Amino acid sequence: MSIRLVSRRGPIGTSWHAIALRDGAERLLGPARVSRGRADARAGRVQWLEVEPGAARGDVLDADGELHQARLDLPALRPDDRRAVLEVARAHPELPARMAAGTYPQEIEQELARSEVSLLPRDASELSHDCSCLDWPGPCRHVSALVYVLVEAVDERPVLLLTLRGIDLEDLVAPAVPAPQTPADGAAPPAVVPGDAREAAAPTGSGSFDPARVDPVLLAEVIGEGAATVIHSFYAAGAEGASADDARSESD
Amino acid sequence: MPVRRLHLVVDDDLGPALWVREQTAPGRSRALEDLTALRREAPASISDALAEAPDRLRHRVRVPGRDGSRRVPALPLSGAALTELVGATGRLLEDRFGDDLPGHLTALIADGAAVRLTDELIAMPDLVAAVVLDLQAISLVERRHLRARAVERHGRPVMEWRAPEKDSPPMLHALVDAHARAAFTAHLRRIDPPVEDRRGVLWALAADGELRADLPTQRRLSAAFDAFVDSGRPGVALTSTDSELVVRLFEPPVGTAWPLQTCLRESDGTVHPVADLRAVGDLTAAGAAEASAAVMRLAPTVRDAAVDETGVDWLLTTAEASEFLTRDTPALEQSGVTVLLPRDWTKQRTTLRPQEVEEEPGAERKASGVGLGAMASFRWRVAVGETELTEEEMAEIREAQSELVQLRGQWVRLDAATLRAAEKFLDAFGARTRENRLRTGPDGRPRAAPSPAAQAADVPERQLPDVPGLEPAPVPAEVSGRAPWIEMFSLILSPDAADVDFGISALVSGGESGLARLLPGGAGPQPHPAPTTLQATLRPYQLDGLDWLWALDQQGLGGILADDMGLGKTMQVLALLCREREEAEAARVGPTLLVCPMSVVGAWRREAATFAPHLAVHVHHGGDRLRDESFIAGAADLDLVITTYSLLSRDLPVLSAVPWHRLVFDEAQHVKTPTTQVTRAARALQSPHRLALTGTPVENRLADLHSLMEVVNPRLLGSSQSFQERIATPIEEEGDAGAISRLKLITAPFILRRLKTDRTIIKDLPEKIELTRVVNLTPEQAGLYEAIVQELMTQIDGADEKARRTLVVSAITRLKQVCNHPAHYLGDGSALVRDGQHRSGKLELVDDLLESALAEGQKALLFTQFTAFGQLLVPYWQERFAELGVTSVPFLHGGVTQRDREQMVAEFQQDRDRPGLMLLSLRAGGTGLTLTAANHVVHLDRWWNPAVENQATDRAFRIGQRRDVTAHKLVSAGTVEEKIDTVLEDKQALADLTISPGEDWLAALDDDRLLDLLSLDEEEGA
Repeated sequence: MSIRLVSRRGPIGTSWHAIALRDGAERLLGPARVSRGRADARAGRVQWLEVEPGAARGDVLDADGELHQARLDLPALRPDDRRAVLEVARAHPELPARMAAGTYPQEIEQELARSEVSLLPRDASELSHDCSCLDWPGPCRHVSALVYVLVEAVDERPVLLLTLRGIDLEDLVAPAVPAPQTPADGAAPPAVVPGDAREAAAPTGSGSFDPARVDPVLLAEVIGEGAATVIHSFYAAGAEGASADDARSESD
Repeated sequence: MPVRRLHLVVDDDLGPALWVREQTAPGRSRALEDLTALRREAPASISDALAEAPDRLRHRVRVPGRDGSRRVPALPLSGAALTELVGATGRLLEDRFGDDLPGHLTALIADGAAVRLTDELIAMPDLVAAVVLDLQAISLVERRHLRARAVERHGRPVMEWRAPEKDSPPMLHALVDAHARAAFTAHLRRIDPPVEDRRGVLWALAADGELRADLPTQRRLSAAFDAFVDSGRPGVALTSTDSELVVRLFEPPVGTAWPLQTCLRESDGTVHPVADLRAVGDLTAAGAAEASAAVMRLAPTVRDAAVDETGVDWLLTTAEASEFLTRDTPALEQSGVTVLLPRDWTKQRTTLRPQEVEEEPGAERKASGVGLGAMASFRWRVAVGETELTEEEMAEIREAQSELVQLRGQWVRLDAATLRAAEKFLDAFGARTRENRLRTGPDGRPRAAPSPAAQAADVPERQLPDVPGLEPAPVPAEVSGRAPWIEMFSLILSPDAADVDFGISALVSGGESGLARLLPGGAGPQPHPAPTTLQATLRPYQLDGLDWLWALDQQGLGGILADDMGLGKTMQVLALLCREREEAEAARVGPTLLVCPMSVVGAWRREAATFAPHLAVHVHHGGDRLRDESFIAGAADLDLVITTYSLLSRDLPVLSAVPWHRLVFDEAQHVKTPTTQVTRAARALQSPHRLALTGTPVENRLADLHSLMEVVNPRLLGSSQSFQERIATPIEEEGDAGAISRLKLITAPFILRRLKTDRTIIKDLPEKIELTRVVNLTPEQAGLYEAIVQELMTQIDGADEKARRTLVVSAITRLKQVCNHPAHYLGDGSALVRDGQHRSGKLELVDDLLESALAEGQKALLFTQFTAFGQLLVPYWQERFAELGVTSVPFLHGGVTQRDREQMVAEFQQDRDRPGLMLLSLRAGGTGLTLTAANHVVHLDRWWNPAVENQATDRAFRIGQRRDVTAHKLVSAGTVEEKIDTVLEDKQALADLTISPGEDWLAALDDDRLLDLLSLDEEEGA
């Protein structure tokens, strides 16, 4: 399993945000790594890409058959920057759908710029990299290849920019009922719903959860049938009303 | 002993951790670095919980302080250590508050207050909160409201239990993980034998077992667990990928935009907006965004549209909504996205409504001033749906260039094709009508066509003072112009009128006596009194027909009289001949040439003699017919010359030498095929007046209609090729309403068709229509007939009474067979039709009759007393009428079993609207059958017993059930059939019962009377 790039020649990335990310990253890579990384990316050397808050990671296959764990770091936003992004985003309720449809409107970035925030790397210094190969201090060709895979992924799914910056699509939608404002630095006690604990623990979503209904087939595909059966029976015990003592005695 | 404050925090790196602040002096404190003292001095339960912990606190956690955050020594807690500490705290609180614990906890948390566990030990608010969360966590684990996920901690893949809600406090997640881990460990211990678990998921969920999974696999694991857990939540199964995407457009509240909603259709068919689903938590924000994004990908118009506050729905401008309907809707639907539109949003077609077409007053009767050459003025209104547009509305629509317009407060979706067509037509109309365009101002009066400047100047004029509550009725705009009829007709058939829908139901037309009166909605032909020289009383609809024929005649126009069989087309034509002679007074009116099938020549001659005896009638038929100058010379003195289609082409040179006043084509379907010699001959004949008679519905077969119209009104419908392209094909293949309206507008004045079922006709009809149809014998029949009579006369000479009776009865039977068909009499299996020529006049007429009936989807019952004749007819008709939808011709006779009879009857009665034929032998079919599906009853030969015949007729005609049944009794002219029929009619008239029903009485007649009755009346022969 490797990642195939859509782009076969020329620069990788077509949308403005992909180009901005690429330009930032290419300044980090330096001209020598650019062409090699692009070629490796097009050759399908990158096995997988994982985008998570603060980093993009992927395994890159070397010419000699060795797998290297490359990563590119773009720090997740600090709490106040994050607040600024959410503020702008919530003033644009269409943003999640826009981004899901593959566009990151440039005016959002302009609005963010007023708070000196950007989803994109503002300069190469914001980016850092790491790789399990011996090419130290890098950036190595593996990181370079990873960059181009990331650029193309971001090109198609600008939502990944949000992920990199530690923002979930869910966060962009203003909650229907405003939650009590919790300072982002976590100084206040956790928000708890006081009162009867059992009631409070009931899920707030509309669908009530019934462990008897869970479908082990969904698990079996990934963890095997036997393990799935074990987990299923564990959930089923909840449906049969496993006694509180049982759970409590296990935890004591 | 110092006071110690217990803090429980969740650190980003360490997870849950305990740190302790120890008061060193009043107002001074420090973070504890060593647990030894606490363990020694704290209550036993707390000490026990911390028993495993090392003395020195080597970890540091960042906590907020007065001057920014600081790092303090802390004890990371996980699993049992965490739950034991929190549990011990809970028990201490329970000891203190007893049953009041929940109430006290609520108050404590609300205040964010700390609580004293012992004199020297204080639980800080975060620890108190953890006590409450612990109760929640225990409950969640008990009920297995758990999620699980794979994560990397300190570079190691592990499994984590989580509370079901993602945004739960981190402490709750930590407590849930601890309790669930314990419960799952116990669960796992009970499993025997151990199951295969190649990734180590089970132990990773229980103890601290290692998970063997690279990063993508971790993601897949987490996703699988999420899907597994979500499958236990009804309604959560709804995601943007497995339910159907629906886009719903709403009509705007007054003066605002068009809301366009992204929705999902659940498997039960209900449609919910994704915004609502997201609000109640059935759909994630990402799912909602994805659904909305899918719409944007497929609908380019939407991408630039304004988004409403939900972020997944839009507010379209009218132009965008219109664009969306035109461009995006097809793309969406093609991709399987349902587009729901407001109410019954069918496209509204634009129609052009002719208004008050009028003949030019005082048009002189010069060659170009009558008929199709006459000038007429036309006025058109433009209607969208049922709304006739005003000038302003037309301008608005033109300006909007949009599929959506607001008309009189209602949003209307325009059918762009018909709108453009109407505009194009009006432009062409303007160009062709000698720039004689008039527009109607707001006062309803015509005004000069405005220049753009004039139009602008009109605006103030329109702003009439508003009378509150009294809105002036909108005045529809009209476009008018003058043109000769033929030019209008050719315009209507031209490509300029392609796609135009003419709303002719609203047509009002007038004029004194011209064509305009004959248009749909027109006043109709000028009424005239019935002709006095006609020896019959016309029924009201026949008089109407006569007036129509007369109006066309006056205009020099041809027509197609297509009345149903039995309504008296012959009578109307004879009345026309009478009227024109009455009107001409002393002046001589030229001869009319009537062309008909051979079989009805006699009927025509006879009806003329009966109802218009003053007309000089000549039959141009037979081997001894005149074919030279004397015919041409003699024709001038005649009123009506009757000839047959077969002679039309053969005698064309002599026929075309006569200056005919009128041509009449009876059973005109004989000239429906343009390539035949007969049709070519019919078109070659010259005459100022032309008329076609047919009982076949001409509108159904458009090529036939064109051909017929070419015979009576040459060039009216244009060339057959252009007619086929512009009218016939669109109608026949697509049911094009516009093409139908165009055709109707043009042909309506020239076709008159009344049905027996028409309300207005029915009241003029007798309850039951019985027609005695006289047919001519063919020469072959006549020869056979005469031979039989001669043979009989020789045989009975001197025979005794009994032998004489036998001879007479058998001869009559044979004569009837000859009248039916030579092949019936001969029994030689010869073909019923030879080289396309009928051998029996009777069969020729029946074929014509059946063709008309079947073409209209009607059914016919045919009675014969000869089973052998029926056997000949069945295969013949099955082949002949197969293309008219007759799949089989059932024959119900004495040899058919009761079961088969019932089945035949049942099949015949099914599908009333499908054409069908059924043959019955009179004896078998006379009683006990219900065959009310038939409209026609044909008595092929005569029984001479009115009671039996009526009973048979009544199979189809049930008194009070239907009034559109015609009984046809076939009688061969000049034969025993006709003569006995006359005798019977006299008998009925005189109520003379000396002649008994049947044929036996004939034998009692003396030789002279018998010969008189049987011998062929020469004049009638071929």
